Amino acid sequence: MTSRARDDRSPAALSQASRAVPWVGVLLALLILGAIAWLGWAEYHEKVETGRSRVELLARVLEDHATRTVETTSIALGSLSELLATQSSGGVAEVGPLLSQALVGLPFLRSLAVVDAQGQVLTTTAARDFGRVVDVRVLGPWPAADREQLGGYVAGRGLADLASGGPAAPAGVGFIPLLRGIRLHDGVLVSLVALINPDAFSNQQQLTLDDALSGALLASFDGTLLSTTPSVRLAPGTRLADHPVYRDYLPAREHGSYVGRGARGQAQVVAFRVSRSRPLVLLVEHPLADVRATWWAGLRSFVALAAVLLVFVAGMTLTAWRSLRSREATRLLLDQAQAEVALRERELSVTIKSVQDLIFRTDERGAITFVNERWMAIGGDTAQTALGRQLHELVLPEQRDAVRALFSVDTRLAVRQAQATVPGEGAHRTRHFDVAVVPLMRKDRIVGFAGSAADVTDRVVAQQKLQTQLTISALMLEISPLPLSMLDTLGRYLSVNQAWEDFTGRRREDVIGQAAASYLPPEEAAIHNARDRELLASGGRISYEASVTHRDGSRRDVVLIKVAVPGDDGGPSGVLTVLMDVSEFRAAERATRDARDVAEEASRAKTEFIANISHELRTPLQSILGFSELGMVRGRQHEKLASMFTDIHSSGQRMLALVNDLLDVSKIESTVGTFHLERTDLRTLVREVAREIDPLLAGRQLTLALSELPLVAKVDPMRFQQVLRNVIANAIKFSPFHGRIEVSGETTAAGEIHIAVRDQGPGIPPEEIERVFEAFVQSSQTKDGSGGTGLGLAICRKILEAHGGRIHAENLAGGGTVFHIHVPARGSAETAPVPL
Amino acid sequence: MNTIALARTTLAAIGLALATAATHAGPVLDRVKAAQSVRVCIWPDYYGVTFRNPRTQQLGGIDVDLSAEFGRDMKAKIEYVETSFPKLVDDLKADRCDVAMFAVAVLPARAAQLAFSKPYLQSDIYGITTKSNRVVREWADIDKPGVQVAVQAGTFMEPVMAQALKQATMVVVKPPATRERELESGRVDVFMTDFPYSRRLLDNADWATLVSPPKPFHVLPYAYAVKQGDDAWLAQVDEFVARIKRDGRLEAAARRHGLAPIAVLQP
Repeated sequence: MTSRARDDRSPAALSQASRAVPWVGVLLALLILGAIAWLGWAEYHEKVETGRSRVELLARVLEDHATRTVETTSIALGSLSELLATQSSGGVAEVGPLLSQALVGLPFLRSLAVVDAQGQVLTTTAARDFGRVVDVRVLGPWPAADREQLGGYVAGRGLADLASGGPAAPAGVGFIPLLRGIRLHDGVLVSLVALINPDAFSNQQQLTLDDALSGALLASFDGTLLSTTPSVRLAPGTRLADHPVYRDYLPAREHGSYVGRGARGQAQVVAFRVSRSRPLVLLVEHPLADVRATWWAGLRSFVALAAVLLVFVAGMTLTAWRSLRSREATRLLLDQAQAEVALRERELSVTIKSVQDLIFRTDERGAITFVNERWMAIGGDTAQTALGRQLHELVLPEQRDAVRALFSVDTRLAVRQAQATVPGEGAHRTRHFDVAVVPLMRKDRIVGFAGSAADVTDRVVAQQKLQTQLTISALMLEISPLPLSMLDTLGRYLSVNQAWEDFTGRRREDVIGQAAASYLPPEEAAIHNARDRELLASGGRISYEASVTHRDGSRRDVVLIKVAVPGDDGGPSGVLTVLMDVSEFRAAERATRDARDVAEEASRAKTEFIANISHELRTPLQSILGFSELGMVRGRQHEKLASMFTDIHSSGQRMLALVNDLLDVSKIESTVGTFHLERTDLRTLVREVAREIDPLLAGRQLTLALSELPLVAKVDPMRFQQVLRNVIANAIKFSPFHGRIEVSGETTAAGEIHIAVRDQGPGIPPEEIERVFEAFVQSSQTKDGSGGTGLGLAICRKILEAHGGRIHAENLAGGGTVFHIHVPARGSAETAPVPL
Repeated sequence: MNTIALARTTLAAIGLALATAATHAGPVLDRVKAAQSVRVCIWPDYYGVTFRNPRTQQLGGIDVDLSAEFGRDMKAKIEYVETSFPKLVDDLKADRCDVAMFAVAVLPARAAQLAFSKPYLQSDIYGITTKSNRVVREWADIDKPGVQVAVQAGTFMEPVMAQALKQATMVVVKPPATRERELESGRVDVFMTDFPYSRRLLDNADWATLVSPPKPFHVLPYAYAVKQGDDAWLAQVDEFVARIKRDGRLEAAARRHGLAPIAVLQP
């Protein structure tokens, strides 16, 4: 129940799952994409923020450095100015060594100089500049005493380059002047000028940035570029008024960061900071593209991972979907297969149950490990009792070795067979088995045996019975009084019986294996061989007569009945011959025939004699009758004479009738009498006879009941009418006065014409009812002198027999007799079969 | 008769000179053997060659190792005498040291004054400038008008650059000024140096960048210098050089100090 429910559910559940799987896959993919997108977005913002933080930090650091550099210069200028303040204009040159010494500690300073308001370089650390006159306006506004002024970018290596006609410095060489106003001891306002190397800023910035893409710009508060790192392609001295920092942020905002346009184009992450103490602005720019690149570089691996995951998810989805689908299909197939397997198993178990043979399994020593249910039918006890037993314990002692040999591990025979007989106990009869055993091999070692034992008891018993039968048959053949011999298809004797030996006088040991022709004369043997060949070819049975020499030398007439003995292949395997000594029979036959011939001869002689006698008798009778008639006529007047002549006449007539009858009989019996058979309607004949007989009825009544249809038969009309006349005359004779005689005629179903003549006479005594048809026999009823010769019915029978019909008489129940006349009907257009 | 007498006199003089020479093994070698110590001149600021680490004050470099090997070979103690390129010739002549072992470039001017061993290193000239320098970025930028090119006084770069520079101005840097400070301040745009110094940059000083000549510019051999006139001593030094080339000590020491590319391993 549960399994069926599970079967019902699982395919549906599986197909649901297989439909859901693609959606799950899509969902997962979307999740992954979503995650990546979110991650990317978050990362981007984070990277931008980080970038901004970084540039802000860098701006802070670089601003600090720049400020410190300037402050350091300022401090140095301060201490130097104290010294210079004690000097007068003329003694400024003495400060020169001090300046050089100070320069050592300020590696970022190009040179130090003292310049008066007219541009005269009073003293300087740079030898070139000494004594020059420079245009001080280039240096920026002249500071007041004890005031400092930071100038802008001045191109040139030193103050000498400001002097007209000075050597030109290569492009890119410049300085940032820091001026400090000093009032000398003599009141002259001079400036202590420190030339700051912009490259010191940019080098420091470059090192701090440590990034080829970032750029730092140091600019004055009013928008003049002072120094840049190499990645900023702007030349120092460029105006930056258009820079968003100056336009949008300064002077209100003094530090900040944004993403937008910078000095290097669009899409920069820019941070700026104004120096805390000096009119300097430090900008740090980083290309947004680099941020993006970093972002992408960071994200790339995730995107790749996501792509891999997507592919993986897609693959998994596809696989899952396909596998679910295939599982569905497989499940269906599996269910079908399981059902089929279960069916087959059932069939098989039923088959095995129905197997009539005993099936068993043994271990390698031959002890039984499994038997099927047939064991119970054989042994009577359950299969459990069989386990562990050895097969050879169960069989007859003389078979034990053969059965043991079945389980031999020494040989490698594939199939071992033996006969085994299990003696019966009590209700179980002795059983015979054909045992076949097959060794079970595992890795070339015998691990057990499987076998079957076919119950051949019936066969064995049948064989025994057959054997008995054969013995009995052999015995029967042997004791048969008729000589029997069996020959094979080549005519050699296979076996003969005792009677044969007695008949031919030969011993079986001499003839068996030999051909019949070996002892018979050739012409005799030829006859028999021919017959044998004929029989073998046609099969069946033949019989023929021959003459054979008996052991006592006499020739005997024998009838040989030969029969083809069927062989296994359907054809004859031999000939079985029975000899019947018919010599005596034949002799008897001959004697009988002779006797019959004699009798016939005698009969014929008798008939001829009767014919002659009748004929001879008739002649004098005719004269007797004639003369008696004459005498009757002439002696009419003389009563006594007339009565005497009447007596003579009637006696003569009686004698004539008797002679005629005798003549008829002889005619009928002899072949002299002929019949002219014609197809005649018997009704015509009956009616004619009835008309003829009418005067003789004398008070009796004659009725005719003839069929409507013609009664056609092939008869001799005259003879048939003779029969009718006789029978009807008899009927008239035996009918009482006023009796009724009935003549009926019909065609019977058997194709005969049946004419019945009924009378109401006394009937015929039962014991005479057949004898009346014999010659010279009258019914005892007529013994009182009704007359007659007793030949009439005999003549009728003879005539009817010649017509192929018959006549018999019957006593009627209510008195009277009926004579049945049967004649074969001949249809008007029938052809009568005639023997060839 | 005059010629014969003249010949005889000449022969006698030569023989006397030879005999005189023969009796001397060489003053330096004698002194070394006697004292069982060798005084080795070094320049302690020579990175990779004979460099006193400013943090640990320990000497290190290829020639510190090789001079120790020399001492072992001679079975003598090594005494280091600090000098510099400008003072080298004077120091050797004045016998303040026996041998100068600090990768001395074999300049014609020096060769005239000193005796050099077989070279064991050789180096080209390289330029050093700041990372952000706008004037000099590559070798071709050096010899331009207005460009100030610094060289250390007394080094072989001085005469070489003096000859090589056509448009730029050469600035000779003498202590206490340093090439680095001149460069930092912008007084010079580039300074010229040799391979060992460039190693220092690439190893430690990230504020400067190397400007290499596209093809060999002026490769000079480095050798050990000794006073002229002591052939036996020179022979000793030469044998040492040959030995260290043969047995791989030179190669090993060079590799240790990153100077393998400039080691001269052929005898």
